[in-house]
Amino acid sequence: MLEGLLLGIENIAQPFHLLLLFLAIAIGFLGGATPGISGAMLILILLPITYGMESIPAFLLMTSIYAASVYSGSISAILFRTPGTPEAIATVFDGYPMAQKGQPGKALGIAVTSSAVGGIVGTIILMLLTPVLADFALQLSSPEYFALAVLGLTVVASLSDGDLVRGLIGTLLGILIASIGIDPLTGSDRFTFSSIDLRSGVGLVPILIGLFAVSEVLRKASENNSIQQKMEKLKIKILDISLFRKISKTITRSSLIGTFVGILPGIGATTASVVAYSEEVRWSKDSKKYGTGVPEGIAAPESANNSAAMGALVPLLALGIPGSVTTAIILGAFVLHGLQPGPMLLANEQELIYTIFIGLLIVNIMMLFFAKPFISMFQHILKVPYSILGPSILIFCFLGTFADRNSMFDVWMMLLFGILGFYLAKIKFPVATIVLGVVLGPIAEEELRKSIQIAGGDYSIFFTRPISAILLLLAVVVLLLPVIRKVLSNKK
Amino acid sequence: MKHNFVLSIVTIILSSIFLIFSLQIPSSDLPGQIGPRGWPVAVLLLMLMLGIILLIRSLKEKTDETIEKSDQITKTEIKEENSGENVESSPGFPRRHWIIMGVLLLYVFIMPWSGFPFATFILSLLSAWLLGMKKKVNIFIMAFVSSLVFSFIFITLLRIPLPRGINLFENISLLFQ
Repeated sequence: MLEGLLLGIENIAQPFHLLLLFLAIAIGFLGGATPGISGAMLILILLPITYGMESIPAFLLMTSIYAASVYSGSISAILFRTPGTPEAIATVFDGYPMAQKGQPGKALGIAVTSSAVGGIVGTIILMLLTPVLADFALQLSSPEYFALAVLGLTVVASLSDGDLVRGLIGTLLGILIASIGIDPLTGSDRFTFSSIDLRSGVGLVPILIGLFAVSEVLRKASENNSIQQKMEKLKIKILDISLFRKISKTITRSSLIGTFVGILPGIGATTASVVAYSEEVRWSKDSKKYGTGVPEGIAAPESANNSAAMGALVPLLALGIPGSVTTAIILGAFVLHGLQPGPMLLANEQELIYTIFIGLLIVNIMMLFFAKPFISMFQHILKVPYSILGPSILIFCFLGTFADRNSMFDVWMMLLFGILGFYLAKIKFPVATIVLGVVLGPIAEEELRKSIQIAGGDYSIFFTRPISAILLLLAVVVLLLPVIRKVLSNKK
Repeated sequence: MKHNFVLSIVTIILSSIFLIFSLQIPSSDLPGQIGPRGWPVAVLLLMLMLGIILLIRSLKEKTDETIEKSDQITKTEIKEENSGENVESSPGFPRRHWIIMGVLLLYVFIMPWSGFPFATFILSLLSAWLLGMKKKVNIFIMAFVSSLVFSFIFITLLRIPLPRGINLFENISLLFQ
């Protein structure tokens, strides 16, 4: 391994590779911060450009853009309640309220520091434990994935502003939306109403942009501009030592959760950030403060999504299984470059793999230095009147949704979810629970059905396997925890 | 709470309708297996149950004195919000968020015929005006520049196959190749 790391450092030190790395940081940061332009979209756009490159610079560029875009997705999530990338969904929950309180600089500082630590922790763990972690992920099967998804769903449902029923309705609505389209296991139509567009399901992008971005422009249109005036006066502080000490436990815990979840194939950084946020809420002594703009609520998802983004590369590189949408695109890029990710790639292309690892480590460290000037630049957008910014965000919403699948149907869906999000926000409904149902629902269903198929209809498979049994037991405890607490407090 | 009552009714109606439609989905042929129908039906039954629980709860709450108090608080909040709007901004349109939604619907509706550049010009023009831009020249310049910049970046540079429109509008779109 040491030999590989040295080769990686030697490769990165080449002027062309260094230049490429800086270029990737700029592109990734800019794209990630801009709502409607995701890391996946940037990689797709740049893919044809990399055809003419050698594999090392090509993948250095793509993986570095991937890391940088996850980083900066939080900027617009905090400032505009519009996640720059899907991975920054959970950052909205506390990042935006903190910005609304007139502390956007503090919120951005927490996000950058947490992201950097999460990214560095994730990359170091990858470099040291890739073979071990890959082996562990191989041991997990459908029952464990199902149990993990159920745990995620139950945690989310308890995150419902103290109203479990409304939270559960939101989660179930999300699962229902995700079940629209062709059934992945049998090919049967479900709630498609003979529509060709609905056969491919409702995309995550229109749901996200509609619920979080369009509804926000509508909300802004109906409210005052006082927050914008407050933001302009504030400065960003990236490394606030006393604050860092306060949230260091959260960052450590969330970085580890993020790396673990990221390594699990098919789950990705979006789920990791949500799970880390939920864990933070669950273990907090005062869970009600979450959603009001607390530092831990920003640190948890940000450290988790960056560490998970690194973790998601493990199943891709070691097993050839993508850990997320963006890594699935990177998998396609490998194939286009004549390389097949998997165990043989590690053996045959050690130089490439370790160059990627070193590149990712450098990107994560460099972000600490690049973030401040970039955010300062980005902050100038705040000085732009909303009569200019609002229409621009709406156009980005359209572009981001359309470009995802080149579909006007998705744009109509975005508008529908925009209206829904606006109305639900007005009645203080926990909108995030819908998204979580959409993300975790399909995983839960697919793995449940696969498990039952494997076990020949025997449902005890979930309890005879130790990891799935523990995870399901945890899920039951989590779901019953609010009830138990209530009973105990009544007794007192 | 009034909101919970409406939410519960919507949940009950939605889950009931989808439950009826779920009967069209085939179930599993193999015993003990979960077919394509099993999962959505389970989800919808749970939704229906939760909708009924929420309905009962909201009906119970209606009679509570505490709800009357919270309603009063809500009314105060609405008053405060309205007064804030009057002080901080001068929207000119009391329900401009719905007008903007209408403009967005129009934008998407005309897009296949008018193409991206022209539709974007119209969207920028109307939404900038609705969001408070006053000078007509500024509104026009902003809309023109927005359409130009977005079309250049996303059609010319990024090669996204955005709708080009028909006839004259197609010719306008073809300026961005």
